[in-house]
Amino acid sequence: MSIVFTVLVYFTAGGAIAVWLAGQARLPNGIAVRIAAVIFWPAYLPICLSPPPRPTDPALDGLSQQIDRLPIPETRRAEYREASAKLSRAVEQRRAELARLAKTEERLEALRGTLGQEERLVVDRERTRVRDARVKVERDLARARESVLRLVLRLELIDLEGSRENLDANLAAVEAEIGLLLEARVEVEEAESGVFAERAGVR
Amino acid sequence: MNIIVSRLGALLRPANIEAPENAAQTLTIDLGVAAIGFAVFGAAIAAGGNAGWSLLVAAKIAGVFLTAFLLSLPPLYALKKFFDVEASFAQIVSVFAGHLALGGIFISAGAGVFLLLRRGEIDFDGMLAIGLIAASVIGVLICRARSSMKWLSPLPAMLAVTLFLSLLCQSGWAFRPYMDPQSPTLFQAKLEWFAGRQRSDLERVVLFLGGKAKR
Repeated sequence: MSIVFTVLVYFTAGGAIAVWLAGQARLPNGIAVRIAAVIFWPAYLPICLSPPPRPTDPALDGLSQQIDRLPIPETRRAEYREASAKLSRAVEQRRAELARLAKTEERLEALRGTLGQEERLVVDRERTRVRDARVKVERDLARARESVLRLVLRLELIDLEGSRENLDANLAAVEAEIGLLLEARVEVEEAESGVFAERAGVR
Repeated sequence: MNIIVSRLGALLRPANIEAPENAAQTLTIDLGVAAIGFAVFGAAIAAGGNAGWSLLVAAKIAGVFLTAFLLSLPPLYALKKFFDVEASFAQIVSVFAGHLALGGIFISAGAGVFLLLRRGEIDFDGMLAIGLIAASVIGVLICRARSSMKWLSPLPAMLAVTLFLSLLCQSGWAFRPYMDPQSPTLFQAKLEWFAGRQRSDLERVVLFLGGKAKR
């Protein structure tokens, strides 16, 4: 009897969890998946609650691999990894910004068709600003990727046996380059916040 | 169907056991493949009964492995936290289910070997079935060793394998019997040996060790 009760409690919990996950849109559609989720909910719960994998950039993946290969103390490697992670987050933020600007341009395009001649001029001005911001973000991303690829090539070409005495100098230069990339991100963010503040003031 | 076939292909490529993208859907496929594979083996080792008995044994064998899988998850989480494993628990569960599915594929291949080699003797057939299960587990471990992605370092991996095998034995006992409805299982036969005349000998040894034997 106790086994029956335990099994009943288990499947009740499984049903409740499957319903909750489906309500949160974390469980894929499909009757087989739903039934399996009720039966094997201890396995489905961590998988459905984990964050979705973020798209990876091959250039930044290459940078992480090169950092792992460097013959440096673990604390320094951790700093480089942290810097690489910051770069990765910055690149993702810029990509999200690019997607947002693209949607804004689409909405402005749709709005333009419903307005009179004078209002269209205002919309056109805004579209030009959004387009300029998109071009700027795309240029920044391209520059950042190019810098990262140069950095990866440089790390790849560091001859560990031949120029070990120059390793510190090379690593100092690598640190400086990563610092420059991060500073460029900060400058762009500050400039962008200024543009948005200006736009909000105009409105 | 394409997804299932491509997942089977991914499982059978030994160096390619990595965490998949659509994890929940892949988990469903893996558990389905494992259940079917173990059920096929269970149906093969069932003897002396009708189709209903074969289905029952198939369900029990699948239940043994899937129960061991579920029971392994909480201590596996504790192992991950204790050893500060970098991989997320979701990735570990996903890969674990992939290994279970691979074991199901191997053991279902062993069903044919069992049908060829069995003699109809309860002891021999029982040992043969356990040997095939052990071979499947070893096969999965070898494929795991050839994978480029190592989700657990050696010590927690060894503890995880020991944990799973212990729970597998426990589940096997909980789901017994499954060899022949008319004859006792191998374990029951040994239990009867223990409960018979050898028991008094064993009691004498235990009392001697405890210092209470009458001299």
